[in-house]
Amino acid sequence: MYICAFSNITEIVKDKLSYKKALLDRKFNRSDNFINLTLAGVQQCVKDRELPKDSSIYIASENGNINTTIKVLDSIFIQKKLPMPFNFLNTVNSITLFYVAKNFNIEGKAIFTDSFESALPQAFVDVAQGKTVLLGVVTEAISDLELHKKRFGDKEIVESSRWLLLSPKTDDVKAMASIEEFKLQTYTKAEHSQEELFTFLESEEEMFEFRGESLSFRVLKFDGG
Amino acid sequence: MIYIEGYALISSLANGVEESVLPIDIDGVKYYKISDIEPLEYYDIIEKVVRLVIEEAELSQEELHNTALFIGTSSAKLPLNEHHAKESGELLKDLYMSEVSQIIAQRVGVNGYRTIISTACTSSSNALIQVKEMMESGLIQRAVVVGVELYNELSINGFDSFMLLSKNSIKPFDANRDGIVLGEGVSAVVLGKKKSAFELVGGAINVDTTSVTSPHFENLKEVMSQAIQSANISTKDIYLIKAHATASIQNDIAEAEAINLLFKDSKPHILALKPYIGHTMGACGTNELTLLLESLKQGIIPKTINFKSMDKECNLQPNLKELEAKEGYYLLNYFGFGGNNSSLVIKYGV
Repeated sequence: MYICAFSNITEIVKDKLSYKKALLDRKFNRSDNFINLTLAGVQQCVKDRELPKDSSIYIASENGNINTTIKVLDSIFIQKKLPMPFNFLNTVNSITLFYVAKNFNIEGKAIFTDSFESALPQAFVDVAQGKTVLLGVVTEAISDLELHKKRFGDKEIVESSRWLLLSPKTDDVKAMASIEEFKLQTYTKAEHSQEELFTFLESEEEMFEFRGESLSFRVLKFDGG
Repeated sequence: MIYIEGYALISSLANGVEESVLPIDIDGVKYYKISDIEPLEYYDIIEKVVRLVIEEAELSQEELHNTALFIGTSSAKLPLNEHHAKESGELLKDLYMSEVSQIIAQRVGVNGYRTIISTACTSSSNALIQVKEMMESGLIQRAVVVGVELYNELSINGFDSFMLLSKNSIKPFDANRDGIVLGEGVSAVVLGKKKSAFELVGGAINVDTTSVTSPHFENLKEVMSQAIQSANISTKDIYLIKAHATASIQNDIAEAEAINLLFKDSKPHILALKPYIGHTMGACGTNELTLLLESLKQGIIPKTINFKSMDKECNLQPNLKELEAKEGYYLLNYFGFGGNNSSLVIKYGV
């Protein structure tokens, strides 16, 4: 499995969430902060590449579209009224997949899952079948920063959208790194997180041994990768 | 070859025969509810179903240790979060979707790969397809696939905001259909290599970017066609289609048109199961598969209830009489918001 490109949008939130729509080449009327954060990461990863129509998309996110879900729960349980239809829709995880697929002309498999380690083995199978895969890990912060601290603790508030463009070995694919010795293992304490993988990809380092909770693999960068 | 080694389901059908096909009224909205279940029993009911399927598949402790766990759910922890919102006004208190699979894995002793798949109404059907492909690649040997959808007001209010809910009952493909009735259900399926009467022989997933809410018939036709091709069979081999059949106006038209086009030479029997248990969203993949498997095991495929008059636009008539369960191939359709579509092919052979 080869890494053809990656992106790493990691923003430390100080006073309020940033306006992501400004980062996007193509803007959608009904997209919200989570969807725009996702699209910004994909756009930075894909750039002007044209992806095969049968490419797969994997979005991994523990809490998904957290702000719109809070908005809809507030509407139902606090304000006691029906949610706005498209707010409800944006809470449904497959809607974010829809926007990615629409923006990048993809018609293949689209899967929303909980974590990087849960998404990568599924992507590995698609790549083994000859497919190109877009895999991202997206984490949105709660716009009410006090509530965010209450839910997640007092640590730094971060929003991130980190993406990999994965591909099988072909002559016409220009890859920056390879993923080797990919193995699933029974659950154990993780030595590394997905964040460290992306930090490695941005660094000058040439090799990274990822040992996670449920999988391990080695990443080797190519010359100039 | 990937076999279905066991299956289990808890849905409104367990309420008893008399109530089994009738939704109840909750605050003026029709709903297919499992009796005697409280929001805080969320993990208990999932555990109960998983234990049932482990028992049915006769998995040993050693086998369980290396078994993967896939949970397909649209609403994930919403029932718990809605409980907190009602009790204390605290919004989204219960975070981290992966805790659902982690807690269930710990409770039942599964220590293989685990994942949550959340793609609206295709969550658990997509999970079945992902397991099939991961098993074929050799990454995993066996998996428990669980579909989870429990009562939550966000889904009801959301569907209501789009005016998609029926006032009475689900009438798939009927001229007088007026929408969906939601329901809750939890089911589990063990996929493995031990030979059984049921084999998962094909499956496909695609994304249709025509509209976030309404599928396009061409894409539905395409996903069915891909699933059939992946099973190395032709449309003529399909004995019956378990349709997605939500009874919403546009979705039924698109599904009927796709079926009519793909199967123009040899129309299989058409079955709709949502009128029995409601639209159980992310769990409908495993819930409706489980209902079909049990029907086949018992030798009789149920009739599609609530259909009275043909809709000219659909031009599709579901089976109105019980059918004999026959050995052969069965196609199961599942379509979700965001254009997320999947189809499965099951082979039944005693």
